[in-house]
Amino acid sequence: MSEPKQPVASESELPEGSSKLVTVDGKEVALIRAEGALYAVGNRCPHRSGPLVRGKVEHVPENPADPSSKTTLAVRCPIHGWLFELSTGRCLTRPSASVPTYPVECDNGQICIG
Amino acid sequence: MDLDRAALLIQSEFSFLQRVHAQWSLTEGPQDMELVAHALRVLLHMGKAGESLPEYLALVKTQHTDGGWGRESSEPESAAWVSAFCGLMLIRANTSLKNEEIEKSLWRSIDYFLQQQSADGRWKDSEWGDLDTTSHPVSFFNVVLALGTPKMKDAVRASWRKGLRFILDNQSEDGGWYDPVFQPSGVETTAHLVQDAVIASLTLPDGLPVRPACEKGLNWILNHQDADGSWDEKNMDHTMDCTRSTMLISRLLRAEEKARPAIEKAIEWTVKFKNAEGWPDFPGMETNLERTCDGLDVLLKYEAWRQGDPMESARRWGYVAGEPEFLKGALAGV
Repeated sequence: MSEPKQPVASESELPEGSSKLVTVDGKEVALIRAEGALYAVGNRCPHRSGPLVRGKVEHVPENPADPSSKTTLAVRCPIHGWLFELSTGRCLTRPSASVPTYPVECDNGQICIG
Repeated sequence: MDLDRAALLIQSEFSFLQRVHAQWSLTEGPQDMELVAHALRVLLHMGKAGESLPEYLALVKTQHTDGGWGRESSEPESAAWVSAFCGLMLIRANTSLKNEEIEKSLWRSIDYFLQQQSADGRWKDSEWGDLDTTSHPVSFFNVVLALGTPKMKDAVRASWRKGLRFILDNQSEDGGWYDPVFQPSGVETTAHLVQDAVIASLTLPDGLPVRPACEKGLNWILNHQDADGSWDEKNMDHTMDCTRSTMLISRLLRAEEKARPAIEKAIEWTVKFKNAEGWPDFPGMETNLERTCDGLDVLLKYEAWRQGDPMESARRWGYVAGEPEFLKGALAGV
C-alpha cells in the first residue's frame, strides 16, 4: 500500500462510533472512528478470519491478563474475542499475532488511506 | 420449522460440502484442522462415518507423537482445543468403524490430555480462554466415559472430574460463564461450556450433580437472546452455539416447552440469513465453510430435538452409549 492516498469513503459515512468495510488494493480494511480518531486496520482476525469491522471497540488493559496495566483502545474480534490495539494492530490476547494498520486521514470531506 | 424443509436444506447444504471436498479433507492435502474436525462432525451426524474410513484414518496420520494435533495439519506444535475436537471425532466415528488404528490413536490422545492438565484441573491453549479450552478435553472425556472401553474410562475419570470441577467452580452467580480476557460478554463461553462440558453429567453413570448449574445456564442463554432470534447482535457463530446448547439442555432437563419459542425463532433466523450455499459469519457476508458445517450441525441436531426420544439429542453429542438412530444407516452399510 505504497500508492498515493486513496479516497475510500466520505466522512459522512463514518460517524463517531461506527465502522465501515472498504477494499484497498484488493485487501479488506476496517475503517473505525472512535473517540474522535480514525483508524484503518486489516479486517480479518488472524485466528479464524473473524471480521473486525463487526467488532466492538473497547478500552482494555494493554496486558489483558493484568487489569492494572495501562489501558489502550482496541477492537475485539466478534467471533472468539481476540483484541487488537487500534493504533498499532498488535494483538493483545496473543502477542505473536497482529493485523496490519494503514495511515488514514481526512481530505476535503473524504477519508483517505495511504 | 417444518421438518421436510429442514431435511431439504440439510441435503442441499451437504451436497455443497461434498462439492468442496478439496477444501476441507485431509485426503486431498494439508488442511486447517478446526475445519477438518467441523466437517468430520457433519459426516458423523449424516450417518456417513461408516463409509468414510479414509477421512478418519487421514486424521490419525496427522496426529503428533505426543498425541495432540496442530492447528494446521502441517503445524508441528500440538494445541489443546483442536486436539480435543479431533479426539472427539475419532472416538465417535469408531463406534461404527471399530478400527484398531483409530483405537491406538485414541489412547495417544487420552495420554496427551492427561499429561497436559494443570494441577487445578484446567487445560491451556494460547488461542482460547482457559474455560473454553478446558471445556473441550472435558467434552472429549465425557464421550470417553460414555463410549470408551472400560480401561479408557478408568484412565480418564479422575482427570475428567477435576476438569469439570474447575468449570463448575467458575460459573457466575447469574448462571453465565465469563472470560474477562477473551469473552467478557459470556455468550459463546456459556453456550460452549454448558453443552460441551457440564450437561453430560446428567447422562453419565458417575456424573457430578450439575442440574442446578445447567438450569441456571439455560436461563442465562435464553435471557440473552435478541428479539430477532439471534445472539450477540446477529453473530451466526454464537447464535448457532446458543441454539445447539438450548436444544440439548432443554431436552435433558425436560424444559422443552420453555425453550421451544427461542429455539424455533433461532432456527428461523439461522435459515433466513444463510447464503445460497453455506452460511456466513454475519448476515450478508460471504460463506464461511466452518460456519457451513456448524449450520448443518444445527439442523441435524434440530432434527434430533424434534424426535420423540429425548436421548436422541444426547446421542448427537456422543453422551449416551448405544446405537444412535443417525448411525443406523452407516452401520447397515458396513
